[in-house]
Amino acid sequence: MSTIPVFVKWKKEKFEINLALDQPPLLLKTQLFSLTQVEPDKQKIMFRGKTVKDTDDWNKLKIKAKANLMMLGTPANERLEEPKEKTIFLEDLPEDMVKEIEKKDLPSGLANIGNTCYMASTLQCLYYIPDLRDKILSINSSTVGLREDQIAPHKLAVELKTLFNQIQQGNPSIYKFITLFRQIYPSFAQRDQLGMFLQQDAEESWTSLMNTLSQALIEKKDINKEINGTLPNQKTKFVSEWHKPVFNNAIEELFGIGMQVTRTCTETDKEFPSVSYEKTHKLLCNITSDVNFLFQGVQLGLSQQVEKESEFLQRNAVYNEESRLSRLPPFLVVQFVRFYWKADKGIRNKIIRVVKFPFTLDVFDFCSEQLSKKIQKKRIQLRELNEQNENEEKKKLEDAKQESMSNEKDPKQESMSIEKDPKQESMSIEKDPKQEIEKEKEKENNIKEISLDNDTGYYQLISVLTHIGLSADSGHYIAWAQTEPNKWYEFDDDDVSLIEEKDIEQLYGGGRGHIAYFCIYQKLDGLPIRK
Amino acid sequence: MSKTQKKIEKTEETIELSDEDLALKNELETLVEKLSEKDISVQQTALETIKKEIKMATGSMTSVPKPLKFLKPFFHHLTNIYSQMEQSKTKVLFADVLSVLSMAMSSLNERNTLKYKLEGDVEDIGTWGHEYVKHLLGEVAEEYNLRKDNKENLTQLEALIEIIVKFNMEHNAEPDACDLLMETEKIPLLIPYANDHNFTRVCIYLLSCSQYVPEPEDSEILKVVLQIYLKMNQFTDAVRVAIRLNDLESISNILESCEDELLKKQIAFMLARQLITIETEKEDLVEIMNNEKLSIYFRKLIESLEITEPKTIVEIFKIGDESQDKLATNVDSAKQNLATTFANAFFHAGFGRDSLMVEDGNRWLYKNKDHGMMSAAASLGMIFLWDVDDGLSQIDKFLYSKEDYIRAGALLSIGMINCGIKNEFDPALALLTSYLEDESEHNPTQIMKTGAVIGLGMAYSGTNREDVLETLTAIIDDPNNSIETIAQACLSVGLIFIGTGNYDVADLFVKILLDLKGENLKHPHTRFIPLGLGLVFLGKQEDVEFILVALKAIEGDFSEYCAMTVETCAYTATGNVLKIQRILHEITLSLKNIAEQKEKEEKEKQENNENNNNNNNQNQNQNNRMGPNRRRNNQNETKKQEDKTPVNEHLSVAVIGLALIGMGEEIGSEMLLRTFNHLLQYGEKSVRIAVPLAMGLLYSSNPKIEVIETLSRLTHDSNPDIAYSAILALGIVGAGTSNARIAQILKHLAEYYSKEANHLFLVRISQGILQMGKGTLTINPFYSDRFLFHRVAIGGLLAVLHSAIDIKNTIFGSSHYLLYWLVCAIYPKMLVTVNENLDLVKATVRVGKAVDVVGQAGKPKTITGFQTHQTPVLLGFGERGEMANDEYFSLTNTLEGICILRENPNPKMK
Repeated sequence: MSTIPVFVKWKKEKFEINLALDQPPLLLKTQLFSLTQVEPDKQKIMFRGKTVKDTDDWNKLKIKAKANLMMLGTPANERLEEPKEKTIFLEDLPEDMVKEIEKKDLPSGLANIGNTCYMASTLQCLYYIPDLRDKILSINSSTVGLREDQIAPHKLAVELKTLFNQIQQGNPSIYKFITLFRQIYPSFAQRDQLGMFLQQDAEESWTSLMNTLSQALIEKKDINKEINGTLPNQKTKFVSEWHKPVFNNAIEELFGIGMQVTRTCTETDKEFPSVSYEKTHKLLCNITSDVNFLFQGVQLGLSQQVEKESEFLQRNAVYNEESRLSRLPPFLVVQFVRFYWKADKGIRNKIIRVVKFPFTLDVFDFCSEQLSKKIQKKRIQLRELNEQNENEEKKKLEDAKQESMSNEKDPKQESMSIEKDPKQESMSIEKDPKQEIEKEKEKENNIKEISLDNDTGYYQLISVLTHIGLSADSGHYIAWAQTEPNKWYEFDDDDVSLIEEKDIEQLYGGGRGHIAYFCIYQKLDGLPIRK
Repeated sequence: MSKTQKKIEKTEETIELSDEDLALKNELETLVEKLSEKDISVQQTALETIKKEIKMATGSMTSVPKPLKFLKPFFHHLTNIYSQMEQSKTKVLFADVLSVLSMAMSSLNERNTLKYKLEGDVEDIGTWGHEYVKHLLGEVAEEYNLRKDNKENLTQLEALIEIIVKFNMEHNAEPDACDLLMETEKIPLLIPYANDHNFTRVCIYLLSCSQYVPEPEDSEILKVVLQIYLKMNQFTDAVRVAIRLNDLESISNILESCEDELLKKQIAFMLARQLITIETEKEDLVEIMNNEKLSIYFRKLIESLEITEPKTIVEIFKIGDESQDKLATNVDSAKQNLATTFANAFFHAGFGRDSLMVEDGNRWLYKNKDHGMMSAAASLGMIFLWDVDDGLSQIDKFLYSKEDYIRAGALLSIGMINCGIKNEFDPALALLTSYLEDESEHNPTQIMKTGAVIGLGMAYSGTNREDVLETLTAIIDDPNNSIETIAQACLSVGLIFIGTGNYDVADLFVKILLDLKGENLKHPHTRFIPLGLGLVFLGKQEDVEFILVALKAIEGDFSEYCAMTVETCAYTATGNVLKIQRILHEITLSLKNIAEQKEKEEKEKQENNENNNNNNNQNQNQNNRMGPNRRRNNQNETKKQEDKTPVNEHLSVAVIGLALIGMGEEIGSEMLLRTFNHLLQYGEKSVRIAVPLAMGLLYSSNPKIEVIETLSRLTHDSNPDIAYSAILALGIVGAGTSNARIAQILKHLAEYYSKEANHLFLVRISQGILQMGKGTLTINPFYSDRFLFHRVAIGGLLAVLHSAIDIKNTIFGSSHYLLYWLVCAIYPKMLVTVNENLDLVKATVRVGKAVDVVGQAGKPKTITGFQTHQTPVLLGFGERGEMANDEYFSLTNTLEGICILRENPNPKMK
């Protein structure tokens, strides 16, 4: 038996083995098994570009002493096993499940069930007003103790609550809500020749919805107080200066704008200017040929000329009507007056002029004297605080004074955040009546402590409702809202997509694209951050 | 006196001639008069004085020297005198003077300088200075070509040419000498005059000229350069030229004639880069040429750069905190997991470590589906690229898997590991062959065969191995194999015999192409068969003609496609303007056809419109009211219209072909870039799809800002097919550069396309390619100062780009493994220095932007904006390295790849 020494390379190791030339290669494999723990049938031995088979003859392969061989093989304990759990792939799932999964990542959209985009976009804007959402979601569905005229609005509000809940869970359907809405406001139930519901003006639906909600959201205890039961959306007039409007329901708390209106007669200077207080839900941005910015348009809306009867002159006279804001709500709604009635064509035509709106709005210049003093004070405070904070960062020193200053501010913020949490809990957890009452009280206290009013004059854009098309009753409405800071989404019915903040700038108008119709601003607690 | 007055005086002086000039003028006039006399001795002295005056005159380049200026009016007079003179020494002198005088005469066509020089003292040309020689040279070149065309006697001129060349070569005017000889097609004349002082300048001048001349002159120039380098004992430079010529005989001659053992090793390193093996008995040389240690050097490089740690997929994709939750959904998307697989593989290419496959590969494998498993298993090959020992044993375990896809991937990866590496055991051939035999114990399925076939192509690309061809031919000839397997086998054969023009292989291809029938002609994989054939003839230029004739016999439109593929491959990197023009013509031709067709359609439409006008109006009202649905409908309509236009894939190939022909040469590339912009505006769909791909080819691993901007714009194209190719092209353009701008664009795209599965898939892959090897690798085929190109690399790039033409049916379908062909183009962009024992040694080098020094006098700086580094170091595209001190001598003048250093016994500074 002749043997020759050969080298076998395995991984980075090299073995010297005496190869028996007249034995089959199996022998070599068993030799290697003892060295590497790789079973012979799993070994692949390579020599000069060929794998050596068990039937091969070493002599025929012309192997020489000190030849190099290579063995490939993995010991049993290192081999792989199939994982027990099978991976489920998105691609294998049925289509509707895929849709669901995809939507999980995105906020829910509202599917269009035939010209419902005006409502869907309105609702999306409302939903992303956090305080309003919380209010709606906490509505008690029982109708006990409601006056007759409140039952219908309340029903709609409860339906809205269901819809909001659905949006939260991710499978909303607008059908029930809009059906009820059309029952309450039959003008929205118009159909065309083919029996399709008509497209509607989002402004009308917005106003109607606000009306209904403000009736529904009157807190029960307030019901008794309310004697006249005036519709809150109507401009309630108060003749004397000390009768300021009362913002007595959730909608008015959140959106009510107080106006101090001064009327000066232009035809005589003997009549004293009259001052009255009014309230409204939104600021109007009038668009004329020299309005390029939201600011200018609003200003235009605040100073008007009206004709009314003059008590002094005993005839109709022209008055200058100067409005100033006397109360700044936590959420400010600005409507662009983009549509005007074109009698000859019988449609409401659209002004597509570019009107830029800011991401941070400062309404200081619109405020009444009294309010601006208050705001100014707060602003100075804020600025000082800011400077101090900056200084603090710079110096990295903790001064006692600064501490006391920042303490002034902190409790507010804390109470705000504390206030929110229990409320949400109370929704999900079964309601304990006792607890609820306690919380109600707590809430009341909080509300008394901190006013929801904007006391700085600074607002931040949170959502935009846009319109595309030539008239208010045609075209398409879309909502663009910020779901969390700096994260904007486009809500095109059920098609929701993440967009960038700068995409909002495309909505200024001018072209054939989407043009802003409503802008919703939220109050800023601190100073606006300059970018 | 005021200043203005002074000025006026001065100008008057120049007009009225200074006293000095006036004297000179008068003197020259008297000399001319003297010449008119019949006395030879008077004439002789007059001529000598004139000669002295001319020689003494100092004129700048822009103004005519004064003596010449004053003599100009007498030129005709002088020629008359000259013609009447009898032959004598004086006449010879007179001829010389007239020759110089002719320079000042503006009559270019008469070539008087040359005429009188030939009658004068031919030997002596230097007397009159460089300007005169240059002028003479121009006339010689013209006259020479004229006489040649008229078949007149050339001996007299040839003698003069030699004299001029000799003079130029001795007097630092090498480019002039080269120009003259190129004009007269006598470049070999340079060789005897090359010496220590001038050969460098001569050679770089000729080399850069060779890029701009048509075949076969370019190779003639290269051959002369090769001989000059050999004459000057510049072996490494000679090898570079020989590699460019693809002249194996010269290479082995150089290797033999070189006596320095160390130098031989350096040459072997250079050959290894181009995958050339020369038979030699010296084992150490074979080892180098086999590239066995490439993995070791590369790992040393990443060690010294301290980037060995693997990164997680989140780090690779640079995903922010907010979007991380998105990734963490419970359901795995097979497509996105596959993208992750590829990105991870490219990112860790050659590292031998990663965060997915090496540690816990099995778990990740099963996170992929079907064909995805194949690519996942194959990704291990990318991670262990070049590391044969470790890699094979890692992959081995996959060969026992029950899943056919995993085994197929394992086979592919075996080939991938061996890409560019030769090994005495030939593990790739040994293992893969056994999986290709139907009767073998492994029971190979079709997909496994495909894996094995691609593996063979990768492992043996550029090797011309006949035994591998045999194995692959068996697969190609077996009609039971799927078209997919056959096409991949063809591509593999093309890569193995790349640029050889091997007739047997060509026959094989033509036979397959002619046999293709029916459905197979339209199969998305069929395109790889003509591509394989094209690769065989890569850079073969005119040799391809007979193939093109044969291809005309193919059925239908596919014939055009094949011809375009093969022809553009044959003219790779030649910059052949005629071919480019012809291709552009073809592209515009199809545009015309389309325009005509459109006109017709529009006419029909108009007629229809008139009929349906009323109906339409009603519809429009409806549309207005419909709101949202309208928008979608419109989108669908436009989509349908796009689909209607016929797909002219041969035009896509044509556009890629433009880049292929123009690549590697800066000016040509830039001109093509402009052309591409036009094509983007006017081209039809199949043209526009290919434009980003062509840009990718032209600027692979060379992220030029213009290109990035154009591609970035196209990634948002409303036509998804164009967006796809733009996204892929962004990755290719930035491959291995980690370019911050592209990274930013891709990150943005990932968010923008977060809902589009296909877009996102490509964005992720591009992110991986961009950071290939953590920025240490390149896929640009050009190297060695962009003078040489790696044919196999071009082949690999083309395979990927051609599959991207029909991306929906290839990469988005089940054939995403095609992306791995990119491996053929991957190489570290490193400068590693080793000592005489081939161990790594640290040397100080300067790395900076390469400066074009062609045609510059003296010893200009070759790099600019440099930084000083310790080797090993990375070299970006267009960067060059040079030794920073004299501690070591480098054996090669081109510091790139692996360079051997020799210690300086007595360094001046340290």
